[in-house]
Amino acid sequence: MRASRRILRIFAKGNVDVRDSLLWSRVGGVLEWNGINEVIRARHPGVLAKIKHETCTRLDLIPLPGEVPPLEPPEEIARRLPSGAHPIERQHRTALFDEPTEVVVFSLQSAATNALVRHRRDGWLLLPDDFESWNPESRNFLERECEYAGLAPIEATLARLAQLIVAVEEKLGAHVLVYNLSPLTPGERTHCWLGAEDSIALRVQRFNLGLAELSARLGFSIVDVDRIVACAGADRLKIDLFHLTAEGWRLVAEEVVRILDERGCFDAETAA
Amino acid sequence: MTKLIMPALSAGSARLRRSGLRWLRRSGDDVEARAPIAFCYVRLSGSQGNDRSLPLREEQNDLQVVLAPSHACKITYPEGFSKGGYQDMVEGGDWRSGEYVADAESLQGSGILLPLVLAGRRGFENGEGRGTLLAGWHEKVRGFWEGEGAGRFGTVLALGTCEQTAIFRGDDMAFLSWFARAPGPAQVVAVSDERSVHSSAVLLQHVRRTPDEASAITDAVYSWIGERIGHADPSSFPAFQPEAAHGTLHGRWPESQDILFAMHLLAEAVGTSPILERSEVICGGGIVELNAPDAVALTLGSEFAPHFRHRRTGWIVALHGFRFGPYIGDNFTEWLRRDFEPLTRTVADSQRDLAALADEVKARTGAALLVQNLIASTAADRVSNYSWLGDAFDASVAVLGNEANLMLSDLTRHHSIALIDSDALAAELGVKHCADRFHASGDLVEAQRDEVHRVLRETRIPGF
Repeated sequence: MRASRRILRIFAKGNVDVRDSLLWSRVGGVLEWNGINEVIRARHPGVLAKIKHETCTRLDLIPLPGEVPPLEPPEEIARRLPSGAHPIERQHRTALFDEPTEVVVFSLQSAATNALVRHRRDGWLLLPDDFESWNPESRNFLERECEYAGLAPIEATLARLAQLIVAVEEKLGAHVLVYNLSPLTPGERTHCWLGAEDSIALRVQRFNLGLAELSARLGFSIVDVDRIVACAGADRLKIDLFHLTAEGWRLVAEEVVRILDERGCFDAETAA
Repeated sequence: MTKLIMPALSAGSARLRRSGLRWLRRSGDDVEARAPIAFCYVRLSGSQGNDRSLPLREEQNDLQVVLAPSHACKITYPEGFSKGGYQDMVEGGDWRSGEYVADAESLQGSGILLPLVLAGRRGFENGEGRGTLLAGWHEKVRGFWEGEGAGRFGTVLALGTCEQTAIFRGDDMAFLSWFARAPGPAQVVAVSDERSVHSSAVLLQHVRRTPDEASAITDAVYSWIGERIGHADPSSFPAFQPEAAHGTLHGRWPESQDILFAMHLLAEAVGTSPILERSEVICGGGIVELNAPDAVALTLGSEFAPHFRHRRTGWIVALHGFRFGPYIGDNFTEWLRRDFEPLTRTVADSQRDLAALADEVKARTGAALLVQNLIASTAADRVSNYSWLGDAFDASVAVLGNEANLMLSDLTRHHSIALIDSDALAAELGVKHCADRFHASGDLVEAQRDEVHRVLRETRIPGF
């Protein structure tokens, strides 16, 4: 008879980085990495992580408990326009505070890289995910009615993240882990930024630094993807700005387990 | 079979004399294009026996010419061409262009060997250290070559710490990696950090120094040396103590190291800043005088070395922490404690001084700064929760390194500064290639050298 295992509930709010490291990484239909439980099974056989994953349109759009999202597109728009991995009716919503959880995982990726559009008249915000696959009618609507709203402002987004973390700790009493990003983009090499806006790489570095300052203030843990990639080498671990190899995702999952261990999340594993 | 012959090199009205050739490859070896096969020492001498006004006068004692075929080939040496011993280290005959040196098989090009001239200015002129390429300690070394390029010489000055010694001088310490890749006419100059670390604060003071300030600094050093000499009592000579009468392990007079270091530090502070120093090169058509360097390579690591400001004169020195003790004696350290105040430098201080230095150098010589950023990632410092660092947060490697790197990226927007992104290169290869964040593996050094070369070409430094 199999011994019962304690369930560690993790709420993962993020995109490819949290999904591929914690749940699975599948490339061309082939399972390359089978998620964090591969690591937990070996290190803490009495524990099983149960992960609830929710995509994250952008960190600064996640509502605080009881907050009504002020810039959510109308229902009619959500029904009419196509959705990719970010359903429009869920872009300003979250189930994060709906159920108890022991660990909450966020990521900087959406904040660093996702650009939104704003409705010209009403001001609502939208991520036109997978825009290239939209039908002409939807594309025309977007181009006619909306304007580019750009990337998330760094300071305001980190301030919002701070509010979220405080809310998670107060309402859920959960441990908070936040993934930073590796800024390396294969092939990118800039030696002078004269007249140029920040590249994604520079933007990521600013976010990473801001995240470290936030961690110093609030005490949450950073899953230092930047360091993990740098230690093993981006040539080996990195496919593009977002995607790591299976080895990369495994190393990230191992770091998550190490942090959870450090935070005592497995201390009660034999109690169940 | 093609005959490999000596290239034209002329010292103008002076005689150019050379030693015998010392082979760097074996007879029968296949060699790559521009791979050195031999070198010799050279010396300039005046026709009237007056050597005082000769060009390259401060480098006469360590002047070498490295010879390489312009294209890949198989080389064969004639028997007895190299005399060996001291005859290959001391000048014994005139430089003769066109002189037969060796034979080359499968050479697709000219048999005239390409010369790379190496010149070392000794920190202590009497300190002989001949033997290999640029052997001995020099306060400044350079390598220059006309190559097969046309136009004026471009000069790059490396003023960084040890990581730049690896990039510019290379494993061979003789610029051979640059000779192999830059067509020329080009010159690489390296001034290392044994005396003072070349932070922007140190360099900025140096280029702005007035004769009165130099005099005040000299007085301060002389005064301290006077104190040390005044304190020499009989017990400070271990060589002559009774217990040494039949043998001792105390070889050195300990006092000398402090005083010598102080003198070297002074000599650098009141000598010409390498940023402003012009140079002479030996070419096929004679001696050519070059302007101050076109590009100055620095490293952000220098900015955060320990800095000290002399209380009375304001003189700023920067010294690596590891030099205290094994390299610099206790008495000097005590002088630093007494007459200097530690200068804690923040990222903002570095930003201010780098910006001012870039503007000053641009205005004075037109040179651009190439600044290598910090390798901020390390396998050693794994921090997941920064609140645990407490007050140490601001000084932690991850925070300081990333802040400084972002600051440097921002500086490139407004000043004549190009960024060498060592942090990205290390992260691409993996930081095991630079485990202590400063001393890189051969692969990483090569990647950094490639990047420096790419930036020099993009910034249109001639000859590179």
